[in-house]
Amino acid sequence: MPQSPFSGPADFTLGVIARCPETGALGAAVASSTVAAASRCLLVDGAIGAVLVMAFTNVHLGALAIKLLRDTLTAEEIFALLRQHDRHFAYRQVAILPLDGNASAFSGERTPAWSGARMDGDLAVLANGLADSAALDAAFQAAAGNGSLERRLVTALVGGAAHLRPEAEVRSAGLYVGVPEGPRRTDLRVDMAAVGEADDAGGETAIEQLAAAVETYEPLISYYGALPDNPEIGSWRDWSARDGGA
Amino acid sequence: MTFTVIARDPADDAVGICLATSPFGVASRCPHIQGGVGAISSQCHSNPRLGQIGLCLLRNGVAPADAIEVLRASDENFEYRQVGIVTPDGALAVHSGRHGKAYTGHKTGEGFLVMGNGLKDGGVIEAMYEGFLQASGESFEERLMRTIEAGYQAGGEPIGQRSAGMIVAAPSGHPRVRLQVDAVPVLPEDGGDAVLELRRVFDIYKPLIPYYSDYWPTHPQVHWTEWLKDLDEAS
Repeated sequence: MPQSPFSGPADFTLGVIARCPETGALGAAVASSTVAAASRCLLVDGAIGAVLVMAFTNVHLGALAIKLLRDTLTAEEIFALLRQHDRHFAYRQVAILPLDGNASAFSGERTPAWSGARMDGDLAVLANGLADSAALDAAFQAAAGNGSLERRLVTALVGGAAHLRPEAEVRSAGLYVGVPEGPRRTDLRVDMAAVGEADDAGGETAIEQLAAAVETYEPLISYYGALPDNPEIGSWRDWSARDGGA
Repeated sequence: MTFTVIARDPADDAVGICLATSPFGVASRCPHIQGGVGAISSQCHSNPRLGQIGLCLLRNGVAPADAIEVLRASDENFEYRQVGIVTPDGALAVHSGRHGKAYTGHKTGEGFLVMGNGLKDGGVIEAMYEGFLQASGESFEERLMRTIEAGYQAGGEPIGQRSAGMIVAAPSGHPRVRLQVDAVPVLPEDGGDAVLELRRVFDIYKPLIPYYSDYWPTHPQVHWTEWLKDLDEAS
């Protein structure tokens, strides 16, 4: 696969898209060397489907793909249309996960090497700018584990991070989980970690900070789910203290 | 426990939300936006469903003021909520429930509104209102940022802000800005604040807004570092 000359030596992106078989929740997560990658790469509508767009990201492809899913086109039909729509499609990576699962993915031949995709049933992982396939494989295996969808997604990024090139700079990471009955369940991001800087944040990578944010937020998901119908429930601090963060 | 500006950019009818709050992960719950349709923040004992229903109403041509009334009828706890709506034509409506934690209030201007709950006092709302007006010569995103900074400088929430965000969507395509600080690295009790962190991230992202939203999709050969270099040389 020819490497694109248009990316920097520390550039990479690792993304995952998955569905929870128990709840039907759909989610996606991404980590990258670029600022706020999740703002451009992740498109999830819990009632429609999920789309991951990476590698020289064309933000408009994701918006179009979600619209086409809403219009009941199949993933195969959507890929055919995206290919026609975008003359630079060989630079892109795209994964599509319809509401009923069965993920599919595309990794263009002009994406930064090493790049590739792996998919199976309700799960797909995409990556570019890697030394080899190890990070992608590790992310895939980690995402296939148990736990909440939020936990599986962030575990995939953590698993992949252990196999990134040493010079890779993990500046941003984010995850998004949508559920059929509501607008979204979780939307967490670290848009610009101070990589390599001796700052107060301890120089943690964006994936490490995102993992900590999930740790903090996951116990609160049930709180924010209950709050709309129980406005006198008390503060999130009381809830966390009462439940011991469990 | 959130302070927010929602506005319309008269230059291209984009709509935007910038907000900050003391709990974590505000973007998971409060802002709801669709380019060409409208921007809604559903906050204060937040019921995200109101944002979803609100966008659906706007999409079907319901005016903001009428949408607020439909939301009121749909939610028996509506007096606990604070909801603001702005559409691309500059129409707006806002509701501040009487059960919001003091201080709760809002103020509207031409094509924008500021609102908040659990604030230090009414001066936070006034500061945001003035902040938006005083930043009239700035870009839309800078204006939103300065409005939230004005609220922060006026005292914001007494316990500080752990999360913040900015979302801006033009009538077509993907939102051109979606920045979030969901768990501020340095907590308010340790001297940090999500508003300060959002400013840090925004300053990095600001020059790249046109690159990521318009240029890169059709120029994949141009790395963002080259774009910044060209921008620097042109200035």
